[in-house]
Amino acid sequence: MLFEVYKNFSPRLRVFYLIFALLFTALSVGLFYRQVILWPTYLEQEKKQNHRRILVPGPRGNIYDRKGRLLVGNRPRFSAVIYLSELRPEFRRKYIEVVRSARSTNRKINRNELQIEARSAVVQNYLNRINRILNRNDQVDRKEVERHFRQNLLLPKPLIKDLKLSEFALLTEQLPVNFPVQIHTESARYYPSGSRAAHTLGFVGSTFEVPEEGVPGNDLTTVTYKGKTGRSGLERQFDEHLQGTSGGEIWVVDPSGFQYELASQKLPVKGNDLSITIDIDLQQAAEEALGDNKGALVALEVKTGEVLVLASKPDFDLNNLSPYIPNEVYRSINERGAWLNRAIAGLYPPGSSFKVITATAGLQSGAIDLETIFECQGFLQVGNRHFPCNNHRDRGEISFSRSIMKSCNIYFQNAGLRTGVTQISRTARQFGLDQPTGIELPNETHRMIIPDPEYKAARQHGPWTAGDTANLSIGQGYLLVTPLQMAAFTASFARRETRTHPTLLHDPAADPRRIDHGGEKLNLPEELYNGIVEGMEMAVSGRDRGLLVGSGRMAHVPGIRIAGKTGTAQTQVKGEKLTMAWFICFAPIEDPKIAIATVVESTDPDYLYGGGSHAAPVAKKVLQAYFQNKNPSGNNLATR
Amino acid sequence: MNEDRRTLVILAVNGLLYFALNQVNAVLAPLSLHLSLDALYLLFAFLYLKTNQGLLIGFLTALFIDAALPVPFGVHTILYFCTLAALLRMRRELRRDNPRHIVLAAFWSNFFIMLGLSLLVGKGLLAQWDFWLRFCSDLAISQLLLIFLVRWWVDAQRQVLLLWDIDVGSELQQF
Amino acid sequence: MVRKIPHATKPIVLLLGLLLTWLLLPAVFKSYSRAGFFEFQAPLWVTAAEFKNLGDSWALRAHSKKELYETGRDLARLNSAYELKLQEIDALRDELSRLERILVLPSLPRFQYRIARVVRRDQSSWWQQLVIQKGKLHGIPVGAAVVYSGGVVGRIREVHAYTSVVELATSPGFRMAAHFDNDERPVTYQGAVNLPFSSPRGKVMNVPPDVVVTASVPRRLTSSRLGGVFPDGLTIGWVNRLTTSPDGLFQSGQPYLDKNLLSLKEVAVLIPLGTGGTP
Repeated sequence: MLFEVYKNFSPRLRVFYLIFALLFTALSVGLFYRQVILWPTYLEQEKKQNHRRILVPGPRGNIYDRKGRLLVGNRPRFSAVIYLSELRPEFRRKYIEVVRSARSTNRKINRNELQIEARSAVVQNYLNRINRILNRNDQVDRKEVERHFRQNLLLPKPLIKDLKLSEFALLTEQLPVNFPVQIHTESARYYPSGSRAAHTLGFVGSTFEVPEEGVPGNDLTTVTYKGKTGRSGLERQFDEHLQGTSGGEIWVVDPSGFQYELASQKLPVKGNDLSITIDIDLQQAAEEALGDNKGALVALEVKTGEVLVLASKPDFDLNNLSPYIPNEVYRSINERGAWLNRAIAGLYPPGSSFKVITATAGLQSGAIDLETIFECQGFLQVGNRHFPCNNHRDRGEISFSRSIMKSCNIYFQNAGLRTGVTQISRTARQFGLDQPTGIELPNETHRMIIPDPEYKAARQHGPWTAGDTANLSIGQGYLLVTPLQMAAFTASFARRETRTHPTLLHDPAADPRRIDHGGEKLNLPEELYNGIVEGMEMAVSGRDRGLLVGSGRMAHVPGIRIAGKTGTAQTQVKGEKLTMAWFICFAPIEDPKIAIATVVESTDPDYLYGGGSHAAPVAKKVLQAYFQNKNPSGNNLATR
Repeated sequence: MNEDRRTLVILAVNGLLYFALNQVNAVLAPLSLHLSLDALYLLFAFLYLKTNQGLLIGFLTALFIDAALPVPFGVHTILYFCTLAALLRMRRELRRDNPRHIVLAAFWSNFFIMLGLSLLVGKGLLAQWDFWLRFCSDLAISQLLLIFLVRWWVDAQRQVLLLWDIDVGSELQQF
Repeated sequence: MVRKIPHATKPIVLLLGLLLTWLLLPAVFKSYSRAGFFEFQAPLWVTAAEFKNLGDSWALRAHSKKELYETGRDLARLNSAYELKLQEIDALRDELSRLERILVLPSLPRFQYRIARVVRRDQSSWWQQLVIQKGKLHGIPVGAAVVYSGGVVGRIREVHAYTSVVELATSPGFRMAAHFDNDERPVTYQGAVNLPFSSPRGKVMNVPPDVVVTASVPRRLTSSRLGGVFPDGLTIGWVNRLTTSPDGLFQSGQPYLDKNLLSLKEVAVLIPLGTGGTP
């Protein structure tokens, strides 16, 4: 016998039994742990490895004007796309063909290079078929095919983007239903009114940051179709509100990343709509009246502060910025200085339109009253500064109301000197001219200036002089405001309050009496207030021997009582002395409904613009359109 | 010689059935109904003829049917071959003289072919409820007709063969 | 020693062998076989159609002489009315050409037509097609539009020597560009599965959200010339309901098609001028 057999149990074997039992238990526990306890974890891991998520952004909500007319919508953007995952067998066949051909010609075989060649050739074949249908001659970009193959295999590869409707129809009819090339639809922003209210509405840009809420599979590898995000205007301000709810697809993929089964799908949902206060008819009237000029016009509903018009020129056609901004379009807009929304970010000295504030300050302080008379000899010497007055020809004594009517600089400079800079600045601040209005738009400027001695000192421009006060009294000097601020001021003045909060959000159910604009009642006795309004009315409708003679006569609309004030501000732009023509008004005087502020920039130093000649006619067009809408029969509205 | 003749005869009979079935389907078309009685092409050949004869008949009939339809050429061939394989597998268990067995074989063969065709050809339609509703209605009418027709049809084929002095009934013992 | 395959597995082995053989057959062989089998059975369908014609003709013989006279008279009247229409059409064509020349417009696509009898109908849940008695020898091209008095029938999918296969507009595999009456924007029409005992239906997709249809005022869906196959304005069907998609971009609906589409006896194939063969 080779081995001794121990029939009796040896106690030393116990150790081995113990070790064996321990090891076996450890193994069993380990097995149980792996197979049962970790089962969900492994399942999750497996899911992560072979599941991919495609995020599809939801189209943005529409924007409507106050009458429910579409201002911004979505248009379908059709592209011919190819699903690479369906071409796998063809890629393989072509690759074999290419390798064979390379071998037969003794070409050096670079497998990667040949694979790229094969894939491009297959895609080109399909593109050729589309070319034949559409009568085009597009070529596949090899690098792009490869990049798409490596990075976005789950997404269809676009072959021809932005198909015309006729091309869409041709492909719809002539491509087989089950074919690797299909028509893919995305949404692109669509602006039925073109350039109307372009700055207010704003535009969108592409982004890969697409909201993921509600789309399952957060932990999965995700590829995303490009979404859209607001870049300016309301599109940016209300981006979250307008943004659609993303949809998604979860695909099971094979080890090479090709999709082969749709595991789940959630459809994208359109974003919320937005109803704004703009009246597109008035907006159109304003923009047409501004024509090719540089400038802005803001019209507010006096009681609610709702913005009826927010026009800025030059502008741009929003449709040219969707779905992306071509370089030449960007350059053209840049060169024309059209990106700037002059209505909210354009800073201008208000010129004589500021005289309403000077008058209010003077009357409030008691420095002047309605009977105050000053003498105008065509110029005023204040210290070493010489101020001319070319606004009217008649010289001699001039009354309060006539000074507003004729926009006499000398009267208001004298009144200003009597009132003092502190009171004038305080009144301007009371009307909120030193701060942004808070309109729901991005990029409203914060750089407006209501100057006073502290301001001048802080900027080390020297001590405040009487000449500075005289200059401030007629809306010149350091003073800078935006057209929106002047419109808000005009609306406040029309309501006899100190503040107007302009808003773009339309709420037809809102009760105007309950709207709190954040200001207070204007501290001016009715008689004095009426005195200013009377002067403003005369500026528009004042007659002499039957003829209109006010500075703002070109804004006169027969049948409507309008209180207006012109302004012509001088300013230096890039070393050139240019004029800015202003007109502010509200109407009708008996029950103010609309307040307008408009500014028109001159672009040629040799050609001076005047508030009466260049800004008042623009406002008139808007007033006509407004009252025509209010009274469609137009019986009492004559046009001249 | 007899073997060749029976193949030809059954093929001709299948052709006749194909033609008749198309005429019936043309009449049913305005009602959006469609009869599929594929089992009738196969059953006699598979149950009463030799394997290679059955194969040949199935093969040629399938190609004949496929040629005129918008399906990949050979779909019916594959389905018929699969049915053949199943029938061959059951040949020993099936009692060909038992009418109930014949009806059952026809019923399942036809169901299998219709379902297989739907899965192979339906592609994008499989997820549509309407497709399955139409499938079920076509299936119901086809299966109902099949139950009534199959025994008569098998007998008719036997009678036709008798015209050529071929009595497959007496040959049943071979299997 | 060769091991015998067990009896139970024999059918499976046989099946696998057959399937493998079939799969390995070259595609050319299969396509030739297919064409051969089709051409082989085509006379069967044509003969059947001829028999049907004969039957119809014999049925007509049963009419009395008086009935035939009356029918002949009605026919003559119809013919004169059509003659008049033809003259009007010719005049309109001339006017159209004149305007095209003046305005330097591209001329509208023009078609010649071939009338063809339907010799076979295949309308199941899987496919919807017709076989017509005109083929390559009659100048029928693949992809040509097929129409009837009620509008669109479908499109030529296969052309054989003297028969052609038409994919019906009700077939799920059929898709074309369409538009609604008085709205030129193209939408997509696609065939759909027909439910038993109901009118044939299709699907209309990519309908702009501002298109309005109601059950009380259904709108006609017609062919669009933009697709390049069908002339403009041929009726496809009627739509009485549209549903907006969740993304709000489009609406979709189910047009109801003419029931006669499923029992057509004669159709016309439209051949774009300059592409067809000789009549």
